[in-house]
Amino acid sequence: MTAPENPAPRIDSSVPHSARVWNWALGGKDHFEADERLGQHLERHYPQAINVARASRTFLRAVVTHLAAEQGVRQFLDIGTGLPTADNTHEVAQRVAPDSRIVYVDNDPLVLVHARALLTTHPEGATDYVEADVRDPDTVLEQAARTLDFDRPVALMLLSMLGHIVPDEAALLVREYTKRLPSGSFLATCDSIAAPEMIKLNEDYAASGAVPYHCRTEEQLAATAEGLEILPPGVVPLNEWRTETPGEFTYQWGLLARKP
Amino acid sequence: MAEQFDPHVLGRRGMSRARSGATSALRLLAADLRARRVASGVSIAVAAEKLDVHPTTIRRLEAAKHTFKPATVAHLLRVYGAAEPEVEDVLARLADANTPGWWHEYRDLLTAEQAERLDFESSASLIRGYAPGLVPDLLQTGDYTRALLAAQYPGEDRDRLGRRAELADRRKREAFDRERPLRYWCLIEHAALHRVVGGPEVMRGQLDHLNAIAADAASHIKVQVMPLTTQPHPMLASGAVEIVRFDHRYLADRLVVRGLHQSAATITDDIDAVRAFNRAMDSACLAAPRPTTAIPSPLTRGGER
Repeated sequence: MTAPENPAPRIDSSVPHSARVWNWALGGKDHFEADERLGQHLERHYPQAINVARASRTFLRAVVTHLAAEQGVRQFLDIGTGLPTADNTHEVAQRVAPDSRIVYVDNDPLVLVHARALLTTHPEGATDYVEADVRDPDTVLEQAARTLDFDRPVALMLLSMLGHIVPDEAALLVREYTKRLPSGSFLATCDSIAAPEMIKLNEDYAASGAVPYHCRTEEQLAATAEGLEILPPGVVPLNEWRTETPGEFTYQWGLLARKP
Repeated sequence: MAEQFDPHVLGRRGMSRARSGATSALRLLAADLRARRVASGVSIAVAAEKLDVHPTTIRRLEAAKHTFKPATVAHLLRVYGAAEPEVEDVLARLADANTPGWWHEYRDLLTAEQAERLDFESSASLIRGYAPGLVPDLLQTGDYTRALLAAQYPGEDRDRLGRRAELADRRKREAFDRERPLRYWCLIEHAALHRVVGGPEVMRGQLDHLNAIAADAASHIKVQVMPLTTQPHPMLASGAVEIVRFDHRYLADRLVVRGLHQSAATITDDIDAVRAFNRAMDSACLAAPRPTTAIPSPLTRGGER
């Protein structure tokens, strides 16, 4: 008779949870009452701001397609990936290049369970999943090396997740990653910009019991790419990034940078 | 939409069942009509006025509770600003949706509840399953299925049993060999693999089949096998269930609880019920080894290698 194993992490669905609120905002179906209530509250009070999730997803599609199709990138390290939804990183990349290799990193066991079950690679490529904290680059990079070759360019993706860390710390942390990536690698990042409405929204968000989220200025966003070349059009609202036809205004800004 | 159906198959309606009658394909089409109306900024009142019908008719159409006439659908799409190729595309889908499903030729073998499950399966994008006692239908080898059928239908002649096996085989092909294959994420109790069905040979073949799925990173089927040594988890209080998901934003998840008799089976899209099961499934899947783990051989004589 073997002894029972350690209990699994518990799911607390009574407080809102960032990955599930985000899923609600994207029109997904993997959220509970508390997440939906908070989402609806934010939508009522900040109708201008609730589109950040959709804007971020549109940016992901655009930036991954650009990297795979125009820049020839075949390796992606996606940290803070969130719950699977439509057009996940590996799907967008493998649509262009089926042999793309993607590592998804998240510190939330629930996100990882869903990712392992639903983010299925194309047979010619690979996907892997790492349970680790973005604040621990040693572990993240060591685990990612099971699937990615760090002698060849890697696209590091930090989309709408650095807000869990205060801006100055986040910039230093990103540098810990980019200084270890080979020349020709990329950084794609986007986040909520410190406009009054967005700051108010995040105060409400934190008051709900969810883990607080910090907005940042354009300069603080640019600081994450220190030592890299920020590619045109620069640090811009996501609805204006490399498009002829800007979509609806959004408080989510972002950039794509290349390591020389 | 009841006139779409063969009365032998889908005529009965139990008290406990949240059924609206329309097939999944028609529900998807109805959800699509609603999405197009919303996207074009046309209100229900305006759509009704343009069509010269009562607003209730539009609501019923968008809930798939009203017969779709191709001319009506085309007219609505034009009101919503759809281009002609799109209109033709939707009308082709409507024609497809009104064609009986592949299982129609087996309807004499199916209860209404089984036929409805096949209908869901044909349009679903994802099914999450829990299998406490037996290998789930979609993952059975042919041998396992035949052994099980013989036990489940002891009085049936060979011909009908043969057609049941054929139906089971066809069902797997229809789910996994289509243009957009079904994603199937299943939690199986290891206890279910201890249950010997058809003898040691059959069980060995079944275990090999499950291990082949686990070893294939690109498979749309993901199986987690819950060890007997795991602490009790919330799904243990449940029998075999499936949560069926459609890709469309406006089409809710459905919970399918299997029963020995169709009056004891439940199909519901009640959001609280679906969420309670999703939460329990999440908790249980968190406690189980990841889908790529090799499955330990059961200890029963049937599984010995």
